[in-house]
Amino acid sequence: MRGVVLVLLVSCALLGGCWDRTEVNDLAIITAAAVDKAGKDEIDLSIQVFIPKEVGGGGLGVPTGSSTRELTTVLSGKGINIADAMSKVQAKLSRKVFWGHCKIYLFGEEIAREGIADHIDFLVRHPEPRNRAYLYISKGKAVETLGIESVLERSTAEALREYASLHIGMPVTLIDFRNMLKSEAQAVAIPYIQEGNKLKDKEQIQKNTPLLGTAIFKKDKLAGVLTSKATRGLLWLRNEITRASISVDLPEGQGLVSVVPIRATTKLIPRIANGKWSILVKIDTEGDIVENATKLNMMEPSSIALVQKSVNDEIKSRIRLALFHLQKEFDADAGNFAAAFHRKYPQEWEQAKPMWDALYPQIDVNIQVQAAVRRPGLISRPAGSTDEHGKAEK
Amino acid sequence: MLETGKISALQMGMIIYPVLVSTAMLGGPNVMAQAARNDLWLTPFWSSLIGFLSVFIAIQLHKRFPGMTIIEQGKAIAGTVPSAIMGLLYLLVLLQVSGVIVREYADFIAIFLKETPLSVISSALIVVCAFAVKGGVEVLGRTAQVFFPMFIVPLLLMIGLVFPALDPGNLFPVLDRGLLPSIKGAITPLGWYSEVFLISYLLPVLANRPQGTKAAVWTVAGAMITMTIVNLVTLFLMGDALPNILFPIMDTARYVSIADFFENMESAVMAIWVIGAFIKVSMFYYATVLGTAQCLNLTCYQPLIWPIGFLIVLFSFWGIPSFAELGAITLIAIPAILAWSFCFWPGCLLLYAIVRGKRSKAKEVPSG
Repeated sequence: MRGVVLVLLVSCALLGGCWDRTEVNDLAIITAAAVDKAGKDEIDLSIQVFIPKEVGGGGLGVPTGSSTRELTTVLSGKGINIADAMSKVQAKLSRKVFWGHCKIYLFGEEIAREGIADHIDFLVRHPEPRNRAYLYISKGKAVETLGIESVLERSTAEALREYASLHIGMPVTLIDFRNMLKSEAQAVAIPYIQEGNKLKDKEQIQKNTPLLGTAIFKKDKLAGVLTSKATRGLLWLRNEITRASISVDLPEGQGLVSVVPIRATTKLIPRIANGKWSILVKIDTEGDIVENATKLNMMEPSSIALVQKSVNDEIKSRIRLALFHLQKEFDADAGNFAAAFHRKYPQEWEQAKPMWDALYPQIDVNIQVQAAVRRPGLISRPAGSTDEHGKAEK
Repeated sequence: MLETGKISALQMGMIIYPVLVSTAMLGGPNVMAQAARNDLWLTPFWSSLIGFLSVFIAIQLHKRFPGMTIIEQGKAIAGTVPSAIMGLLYLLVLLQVSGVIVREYADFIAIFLKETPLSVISSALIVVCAFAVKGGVEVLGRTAQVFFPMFIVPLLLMIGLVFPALDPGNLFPVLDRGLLPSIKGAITPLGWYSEVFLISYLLPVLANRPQGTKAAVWTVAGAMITMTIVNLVTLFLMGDALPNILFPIMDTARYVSIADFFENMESAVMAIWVIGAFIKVSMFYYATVLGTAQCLNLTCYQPLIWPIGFLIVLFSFWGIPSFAELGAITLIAIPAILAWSFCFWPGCLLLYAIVRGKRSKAKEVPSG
């Protein structure tokens, strides 16, 4: 019995976790971090810190939670790398910084051109930052994005995180970045967002979309930016398309039809024949019609066939656009053709690997799209058509 | 007879399984991927061969000398003086290996509990293990049985949760550089699998001895299957980045994110690792204590528990200044020691016993 009591007493002393005890109110919770180039060999690290405040504690007439009070604040520090800059930022804070809730990492365009792998190293080596945090490249200075207020969300960090989970652009997490950088292609794609001071006031937010396209990296250095339209092509290539509406202008000037793909799969089939490297991009997709501004009745198989053909061409042209930039301009294999070749032709790949940069722009790409329009939506004829009424009813 | 408890063959399997797997739960896929790259799924198969060999040796020795552990068998085969020297060397190996395991455990925990001194982390584990060892083999068997589901379920759960993110394409090209890389990758895991020889300490206390062989073989097979699955999952998730990631399983757990709030599963991996390390260290600890007692012809082993526990903590510091050093030791030196002491040396003893036709004189040592 005495032994049991002794054990219990000793455990009481130990279970407090004396050394690594951390209280929430000793932590400064980072919600987003931005890294910019400050000067020669210096970076500027800015963190958005959550300001804890009483929630719903206004019972005694104390005005809490008023809309003017900010929820986050931004602190910056200069240093030779993230760890160094972090210690400068820490000196400005009364609480210990905590990375565990940081879900957004922003990098300025300038630093991206010089390479970000060294800075990413801190984030993947340190045990606190999360693997699933999203990366963004910002036009101009990344820190400006941290300062802006979000209309719907608590902070820009939260807004960008929700944005990534909508899959409009190409969400890239820390772990994705790490894996892409280590992959055979050594090309990385990260979403590219509008610079912060263009999204400051309400009017600007209403006018501008935050997402501008995709930043393409060769190794860890920014090579160029794909437009939103070309980004779609890249998403098709990478088999990552989840939400997209494809509007096609039907031939013979009949008007626009929009199709939303429900399912889409992309296969890359590499081929080496007579020393010539080519790749077949095979896409299977099916979707529904969501808008029909033509005079066609979408219950007629012939008009569906027409739409399907146009959709095929549209997808092809998007991919061609993305490939044009990737192959001819940036020479960055963001579609990861390298892995496809490595998997199918390991021997040839081993030989070609050192000159992949020279080879990649020369690869012939054939695109085969099999689009199927399954359902016309809730109505058959276009809602507004009156003149062709009789004809359509036949 | 020093040990009076009895365990079932199933309990033996449940003790040995974490012994084999728990180290692999930490850095296994990383270690194997360094040489084998995308062929690491085949690596556990190669290394498990030594596990089956060790089981065979342990069973054959036990058939010739029933009711004896390897230390007693050594005495019976080689005579008093040589066996005493060999026995002491053997115990030194056990101490060293236990020390390294404790250090691995402590270093992993210390990544998260930065402020806590390493000695506190390792001593805390040793204190708990000491209680288990004090309770004897029955307590060891039962704790293993209780903890077994806690070891397996979080692992399966985690694999299920990352399942949608897996890309089987990372497997290709299959064996593009031949079989050699996958065999090279098997060098370090050889050591882990040869640890199955610790059944030598458990076979004498089995309540149902005929089941022992089956349980041991299934344990090795189970460990092989587990490692193969874990290797595949981490490869599918990380691809070419795998050789650079020190704790792939924890990384996998950190990847889990369901509905934006079910995240940070690394604590589950910590739980797996703590439980695994507890069983593993307890088993090595028990083997060291029992072996020492048998080597010195003591009548009971309990007084040795605390001194040897203290020694294990010391061994976890001696000669290991950093995690990098620890990694280097566990890559080649420790597997070599393990393979020597758990496979080669017992194998030599067995051969010698066969050549000299040595068998236990008594038909069966009544144990219990």
